[in-house]
Amino acid sequence: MTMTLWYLGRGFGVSALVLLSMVVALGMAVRAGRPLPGLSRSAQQTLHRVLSLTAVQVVLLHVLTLWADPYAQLRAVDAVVPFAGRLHPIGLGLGTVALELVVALVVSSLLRRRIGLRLWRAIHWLAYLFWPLSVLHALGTGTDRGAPWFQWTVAACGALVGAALTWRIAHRQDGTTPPRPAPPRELAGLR
Amino acid sequence: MTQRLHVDWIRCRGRGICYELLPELLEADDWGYPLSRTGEPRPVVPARLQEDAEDAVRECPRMALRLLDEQEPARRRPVLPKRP
Amino acid sequence: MITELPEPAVHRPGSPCRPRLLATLDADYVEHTARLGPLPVLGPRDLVDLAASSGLTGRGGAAFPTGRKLASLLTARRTVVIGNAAEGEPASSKDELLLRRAPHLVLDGLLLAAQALGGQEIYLYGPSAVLASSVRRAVAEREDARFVRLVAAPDAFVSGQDTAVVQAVQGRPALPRTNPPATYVSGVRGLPTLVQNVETAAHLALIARYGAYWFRQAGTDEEPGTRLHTVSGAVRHPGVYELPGGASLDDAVAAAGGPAEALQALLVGGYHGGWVPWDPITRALPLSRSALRDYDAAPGAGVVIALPARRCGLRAGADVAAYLAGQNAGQCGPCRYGLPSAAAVLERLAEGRAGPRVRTELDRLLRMVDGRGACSHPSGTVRLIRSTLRTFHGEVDRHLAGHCSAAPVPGEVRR
Repeated sequence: MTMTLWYLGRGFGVSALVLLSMVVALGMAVRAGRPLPGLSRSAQQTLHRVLSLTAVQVVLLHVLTLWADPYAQLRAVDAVVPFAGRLHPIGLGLGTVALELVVALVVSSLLRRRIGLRLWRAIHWLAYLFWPLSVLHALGTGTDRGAPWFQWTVAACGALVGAALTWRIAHRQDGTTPPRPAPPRELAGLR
Repeated sequence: MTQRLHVDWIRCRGRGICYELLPELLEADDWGYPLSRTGEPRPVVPARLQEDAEDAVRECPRMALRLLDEQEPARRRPVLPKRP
Repeated sequence: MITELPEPAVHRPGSPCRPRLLATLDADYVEHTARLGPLPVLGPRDLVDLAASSGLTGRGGAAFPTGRKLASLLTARRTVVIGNAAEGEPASSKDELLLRRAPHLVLDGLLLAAQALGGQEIYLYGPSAVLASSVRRAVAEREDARFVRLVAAPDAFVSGQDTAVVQAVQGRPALPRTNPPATYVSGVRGLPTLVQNVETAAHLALIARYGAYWFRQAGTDEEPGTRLHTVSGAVRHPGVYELPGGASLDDAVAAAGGPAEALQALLVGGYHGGWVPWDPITRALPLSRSALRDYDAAPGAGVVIALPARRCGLRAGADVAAYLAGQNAGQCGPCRYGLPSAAAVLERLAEGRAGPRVRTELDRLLRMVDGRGACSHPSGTVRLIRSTLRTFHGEVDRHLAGHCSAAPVPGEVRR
């Protein structure tokens, strides 16, 4: 039984990382000035939202299965207080912070209209912090970190997010304000 | 009651989701901002486009769209999140 | 007791009337109250009725009926009153004149409104130089004005827009905000706010003393009372002149000493106004909304700019459009990108470099900009450009053929 939970827990973790990488990549693509070829902007945005909700459920399953598994030595408090865990405290701690961030990201987005644009945007910027923490958590606690399949998976996630970031920067919607000419002198005789 | 679609131009950044969802009422101008096809800056939303308009309001990433009742333009009509 | 101001006869447009706002220039507070009488204390309903029956309209450009504006604030428990002398319009200096030489009239008007509407927060928003000098002195001379807070206005075209005024008074950048909600519903810190042009306030100060009937003895039914006009350009004595409502364009130019040279057109209503050609028929047009409607002009804030015949009308229009395009607040996409695009096309036309489809292209751009923005800046600029094309349509044809009426040599387009 416990081996099943252990495998499930790790499986959910890796799946979550892949899904979250897709979510982050989509989130950046939505923000770029040009939509991704083949997918309308509204579809990209909907996909980003649907995948994020899916991903967060997988993250929760990851946490719950590991909590239920005695081998993982996960206590309830480790889900909230970082760096106090028994097994791989640092790697786990990063996961705790990432968990809190993803909850903040999703909850703030669900309550977007209520909290207003500025607060929502401020919280959503944390996504740029959240993703690297997830990767570090995976590398820090992942039992499979030595395994090639795992390394390729993490590398692929990194490549995906890197590509999205490049796209985002390359297609920045820019905001240059044109220079201001002075009022025509002859016409405005008095000033 | 007649409903009009109002754009908060200060919020709008021309992200372009609204004219994808409401192509009958809106199109992109030269710079990616939503241009009303009816000629009025605040187009009337016909009943058959009501749901699409509410989608556009909800999906705008900058929350720059509002539906205003003709009679009470100062009050905004709340568009609540839809069940996915 | 009051001997100077009220006039016995009705003044028909065309005949000069005695100055009213400009009658007590450079008076200190003692002289001001001695000549005009003390400032009456009016209850809210009395002030609204007085303003409404006088027919006073806003002198800041929009010409909204003052009585109605005040009435909309009657239900508010607390009101903020702001006197707006920002005068973003470069060709206007009437508000600055009032602040510099008749600040007590302005203060009277603001205090009247504040007293009647239950406002204890009063601001006066205008150019820093004149606030720091004559206004500060005037405030110091009177006990009742000690609550008035002076706020410096930046020298930008949009800084006089009422939502921008509300922002500036709260210490934020003077940029327009989205309307709705209007400032009389939600302004400074969400409170109902009265943003009143200082000339309108000055008129109120006199109406409160002499009554609505007195106010209406000058001017016409459509444009009662007097208004200040800033007349500039090719006139002998550019300056600020007080004329009865409905005075003709000819009267305005005559008040400024008459044309300095042969005139081609007048820009009426400022940079967001319209060009009216100068000919024997149009010269006699009264400065009223109905008469000027065909030229998309209105008395507005009283700006009249005289364009001499030797200058190219398209060049003048293009210069104004370029200025207006540069004065966008940078907040709204269609204005920020659309105005410079349209101004650039007009510039090409003015320089004689435009192709035959320029009218269609300009029309397309203008329709893309009109009405799309948080404030009226894009629409006003569109109006000015359209008016330029309409009034100087002959010039447009000439430029498309490679000529310009202002050029000494045929085939050359003069800048």
